[in-house]
Amino acid sequence: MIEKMSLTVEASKLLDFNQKLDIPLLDNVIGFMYNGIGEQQRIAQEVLTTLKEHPDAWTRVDAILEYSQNQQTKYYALQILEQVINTKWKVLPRDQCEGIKKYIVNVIIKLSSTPESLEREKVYLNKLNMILVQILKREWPKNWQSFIPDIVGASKTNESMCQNNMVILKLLSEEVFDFSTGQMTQTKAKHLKDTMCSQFQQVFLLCIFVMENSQNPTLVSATLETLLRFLNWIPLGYIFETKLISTLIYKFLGLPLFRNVTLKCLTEIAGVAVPSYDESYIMMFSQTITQLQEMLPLETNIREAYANGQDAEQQFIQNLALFLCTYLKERGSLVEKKQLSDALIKALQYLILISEVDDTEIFKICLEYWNALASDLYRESPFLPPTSASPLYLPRPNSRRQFYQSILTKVRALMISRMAKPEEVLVVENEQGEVVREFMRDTDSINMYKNMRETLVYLTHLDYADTERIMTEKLANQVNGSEWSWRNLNTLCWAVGSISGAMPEEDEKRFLVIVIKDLLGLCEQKRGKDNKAIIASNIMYIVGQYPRFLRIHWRFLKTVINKLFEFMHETHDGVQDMACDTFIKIAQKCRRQFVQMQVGEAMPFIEEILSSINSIICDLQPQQVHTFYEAVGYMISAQTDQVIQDHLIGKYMMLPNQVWDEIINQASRNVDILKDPDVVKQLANILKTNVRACKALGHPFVSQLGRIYLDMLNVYKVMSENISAAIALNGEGVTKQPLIKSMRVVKKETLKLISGWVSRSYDHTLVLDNFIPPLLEAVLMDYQRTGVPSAREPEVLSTMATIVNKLESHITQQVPKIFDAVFQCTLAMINKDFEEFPEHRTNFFLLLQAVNTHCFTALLNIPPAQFKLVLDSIIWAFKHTMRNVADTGLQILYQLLQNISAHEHAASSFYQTYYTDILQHIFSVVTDSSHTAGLTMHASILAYMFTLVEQNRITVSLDSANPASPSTNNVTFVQGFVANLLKAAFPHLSENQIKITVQGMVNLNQDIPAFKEHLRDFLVQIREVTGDDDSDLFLEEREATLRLAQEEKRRVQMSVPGILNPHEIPEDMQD
Amino acid sequence: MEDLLSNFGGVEVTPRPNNPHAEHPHFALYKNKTTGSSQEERRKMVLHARKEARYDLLSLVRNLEGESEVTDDSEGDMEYEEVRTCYARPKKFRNFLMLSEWLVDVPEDFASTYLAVPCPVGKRCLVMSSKGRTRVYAKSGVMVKEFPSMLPGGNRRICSRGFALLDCIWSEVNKIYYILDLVMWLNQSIIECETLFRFEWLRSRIEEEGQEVQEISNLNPVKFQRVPYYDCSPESLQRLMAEELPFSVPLDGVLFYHKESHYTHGNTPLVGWLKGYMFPEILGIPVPDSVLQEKPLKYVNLPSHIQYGQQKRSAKKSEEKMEVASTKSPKKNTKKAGKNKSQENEMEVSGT
Repeated sequence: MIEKMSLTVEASKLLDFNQKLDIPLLDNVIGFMYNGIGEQQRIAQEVLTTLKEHPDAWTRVDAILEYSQNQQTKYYALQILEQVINTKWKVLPRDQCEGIKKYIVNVIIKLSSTPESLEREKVYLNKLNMILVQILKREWPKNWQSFIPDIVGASKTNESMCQNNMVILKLLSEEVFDFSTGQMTQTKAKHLKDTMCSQFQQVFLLCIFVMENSQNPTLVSATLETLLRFLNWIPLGYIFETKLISTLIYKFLGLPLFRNVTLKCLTEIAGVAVPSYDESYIMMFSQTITQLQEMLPLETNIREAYANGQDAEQQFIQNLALFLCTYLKERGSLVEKKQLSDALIKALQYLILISEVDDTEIFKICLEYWNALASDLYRESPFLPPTSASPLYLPRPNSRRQFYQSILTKVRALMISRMAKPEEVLVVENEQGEVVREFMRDTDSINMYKNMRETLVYLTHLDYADTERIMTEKLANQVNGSEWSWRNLNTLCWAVGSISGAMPEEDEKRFLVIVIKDLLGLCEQKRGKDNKAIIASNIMYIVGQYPRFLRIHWRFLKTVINKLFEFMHETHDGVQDMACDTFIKIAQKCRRQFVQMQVGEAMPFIEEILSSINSIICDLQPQQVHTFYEAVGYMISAQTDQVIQDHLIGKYMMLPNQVWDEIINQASRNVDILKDPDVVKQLANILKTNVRACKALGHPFVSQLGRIYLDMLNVYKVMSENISAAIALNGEGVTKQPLIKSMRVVKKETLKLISGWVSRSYDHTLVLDNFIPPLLEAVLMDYQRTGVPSAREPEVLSTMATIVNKLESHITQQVPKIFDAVFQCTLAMINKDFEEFPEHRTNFFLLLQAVNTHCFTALLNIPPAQFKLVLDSIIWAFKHTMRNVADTGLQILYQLLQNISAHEHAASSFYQTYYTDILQHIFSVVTDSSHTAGLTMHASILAYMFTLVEQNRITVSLDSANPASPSTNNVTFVQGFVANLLKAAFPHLSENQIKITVQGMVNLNQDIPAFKEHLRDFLVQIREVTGDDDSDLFLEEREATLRLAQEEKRRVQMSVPGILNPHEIPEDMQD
Repeated sequence: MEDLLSNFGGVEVTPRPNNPHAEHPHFALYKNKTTGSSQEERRKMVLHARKEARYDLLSLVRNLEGESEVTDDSEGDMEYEEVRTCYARPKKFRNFLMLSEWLVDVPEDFASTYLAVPCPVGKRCLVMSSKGRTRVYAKSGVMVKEFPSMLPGGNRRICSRGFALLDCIWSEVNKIYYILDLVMWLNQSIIECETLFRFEWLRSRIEEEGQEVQEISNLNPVKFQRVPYYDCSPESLQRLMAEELPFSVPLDGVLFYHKESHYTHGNTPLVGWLKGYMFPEILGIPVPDSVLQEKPLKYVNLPSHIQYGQQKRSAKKSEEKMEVASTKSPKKNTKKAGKNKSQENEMEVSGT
């Protein structure tokens, strides 16, 4: 306790700026901060934060750096310094700036002058370097013109200093060229880049000097790293008209220590987008390949080498892959033309070898190239000869396809043996080697599958016979056991499934029959349920991938379906799921086959399914049953005769309806039955089945919906009352109970069913007359009446939004009723903060958006007080930090502005009341850093609003103090208004800055991207206190650009007759 | 293509000859590979193997609460070892239920060695009451429901009164568990007792101690009801089909239990399954027209698949039919003969 007290007292001394800073005390406090625990640490942290934020804190930095013995303390001091440099550099007195600058430079020089201190103080030095670069960004070149000569000169002092200077140059290059967006204004960044390019020669000579003469490996490494950063921006002459490339290849590529960074440099050079210098590129390619063969003979088993290699060696393989892929993608055609086929083939062989490496990242790199190559070759002449046997179409001897043929065969084998898992395959092998059902979606592998599939499809188009040959061979090896493994079988079958449609139909059929036959044989041959489950699910996957085949072979299709039904009783893990998922896949693709009368059948197959539905689904879990129902729904949806279809639907829904009727019957005698947990669960299940059926059937589901509609709404009301009663009795905690939860599920599913059907319906009148009135009466009244906010279902709002989106203007008449019920009570839930009830929030604004888009007149007709509420809620929306809500809010506002401009009368009063308000609120979010994501939308809205006044489309005066002034004064008024607004909010900006910002907003309002950049520059400026010295913001240049933009805009306007007022047109253009 | 179709029918994960979820081989369009119909052979093998394998159900059930103690993972690798097939140890309750095959080979002494149990439409499940609650498990071992009941140990009040384990069919429509078979009652396992004994025990337990499970009450919210069994004499079966059913839901089919069978797990050739409309074909027992009407249309329509039969044999048709129906000795059913026979059967059906 005492210790704590004393710590507080002691520590507060640190904050007294009249005393000399007690360095040992500071060291102590920092020690507590890093090593202390609990209260101690908290106090230490508090003191340090306060100290850091003190405006004069930076004055203590030099003392700390000088006397403190503690690394962490020094680091802390540098943080203080960095903060000052970033925000207040401009307002510091010049001599102070110079002092800091000199001090930092001296420390750096001191630390980097010997190799020992360089190594020892590495972390500290890095931070110092970073600070120097921050200073440079503000000082160079204006206040420190000699920086480049200085640093180059200093580098010659000794090697360790040179090494550190390389690091500084690297950091500077990164800051200026890679990370300048959003950190510097555009003009400033451009200025720095120009300066750097013009002074680059000295730096370059230094680099070359080091590379040619130094024997110090760490220095050379640092130099190469620095060079690597330069390569993407330096003038091309330095790369191609010097010996740089040869030096890299001959001197460094072969040395294990440098080969990684050298390869990265070469990759960077290969990727430069320049059409000339072909000779250099050719030379670079052949030299690199020659060098490579010495380092890594083509006979190497790269796969194994990688598996056993060190980190650096693995890096090398990855860098090599990157180099080859980048080069071949950018310059492949060049190499082809120059008859370097030997080197090219070798490069491709390397790439094949690398593709076999067991590493996903490396494979992705290679895959990208193979994909590009295959699609390029395919697009060259997409149409395949009708049969490969026809001699007329044999590839010409010199054609590119011919050239790549042998390589492509290998790529095919590669793709087939490494095929990724398609999304729909659910039975997988887990880490323990068990066959299980997969639950997690692996998006990475799904993406990989998509890319590989695309590649394999192109490759198959290029030579389908070859693909077929490889696949058949691999399948034979599965059957004879030489390559048998689950993984091999899986990849093979996924590959087979992925080329559906890429072969000519007849060949595909023949191929497929062989594949299935072999797999069936394999399934019979292998023992053990796991084996059989894997094979069976692969068969199902392949079959499901070829609907074209299924559609023309009815008896086969029927056998497959019956087998799936059989699998629905299988208890082995995952098989039931696979059966249901394959069933729905086939049902979607072949739906018509099931409702047609097939040759040799007594009735359409759907009838058979419906009459035995009970025994098919009896072993399935509820969610599997739902999938099954959806699948059957797709089949029924293919029946075009409405009478037959209704009959099918009746039979289809018989089972759930039977249970439903029974419950409803019981409930009509005793409503308390609806409080029974099992009954509620059953209801939820039945409704879920209905939701899926509706999803599949679409509008025709109306016959079923009509059957249960009113009962369903009554159940909804009862559930709602039960929930409210339970809450009233036991408090809100009761909503966590399973029973209440399932009651809410019933409500949610009801709403989901209704909105699902409405969004698929196509008879507005039917919906409006028969379904909407009871819905509004039951659901909306219930929503409003529900006393406890958390018991209101957010889905009510989304359902209403769906209905408005679907029925569009037809529902306009009902909108006031909807608003009456939901508006005020929802707003009361969400206007207290930005977080509570997130779903209600989102859905509420979606509803608002729907009404604004489709039923705008309804919005216009509501009383002014309520309209103000609407507008306030929109403004509330875009102030959210919840991204989706803010976006919706901005979209609504933009749409609202556009809508209202079409209603002239309403528009005038709207602008008078709200224009400046909106402007003010938009600016408040623009300048709030947590809203940067919405910048584009902010820019669009502001640009639109400025356009409105500029084109004089606002016919009343916006100036409330001066309502009589003509509307043409609005531009001046708005400019003045914005300027005042900004000045009040950001007193540290100079008059000049504000003037140019506002001017830019008017001039650039026709060009959203430029407007956005302009806003972004403005945002950079407000972060920095500049004082009077705004010279390095390049305001004049900015002004010049703006003037140009203004002239350009005027020129465009003039070119369209009638755009400009006659009196604005210059004299000489008039007759 | 024809090969493909017939091979496809043979794909299975858990080996299950004469799977009742596929078409009855007798009626199937494409012959299932596994219907070489070794059914009678397998029956004998199982009855023989039974003596050698024993397994203590009680210990399994006692250990259920501490699930980790049941660590038998040897399930996957014991394909076709007949001993294990009939006594495969279930992982908890997965694959616990005794399941049927299509009744394909009808033995000569069928009438005296089998018992028939009519099955209502519903979901097959295992009901276990113990330690104060009653739980229902699906075929896959997933627990699907939990509620109190008056079965031994089935609710809090009688939680110390032991366990019971019943093989039931749940009818969603009228909310009744129909008890087909009894595995355990009041701590006493009858899993290794023969069918007739189990059925009698079930009858007497329900009649003597189970009045309360047949009534709805607070402690027994759903009804349990026993399904009676019948002997398999032609007259008895004919009556079963003609008279009113012992339950109020539609008939799904009839299970035929071999009298000497113990309660085993998974499918067994000792329990057969037929749909009502198959009686005339397989057993030679006439059924009312109302039952025949359930016959799927496709079975009437077989002439269009006539190519599967061999036309020249049509002369012998009526003779053969009699034989198949009642007298044919299963011993004669070598693979080859079975195949030919079923081909002929298609022809026969096509004639009806």
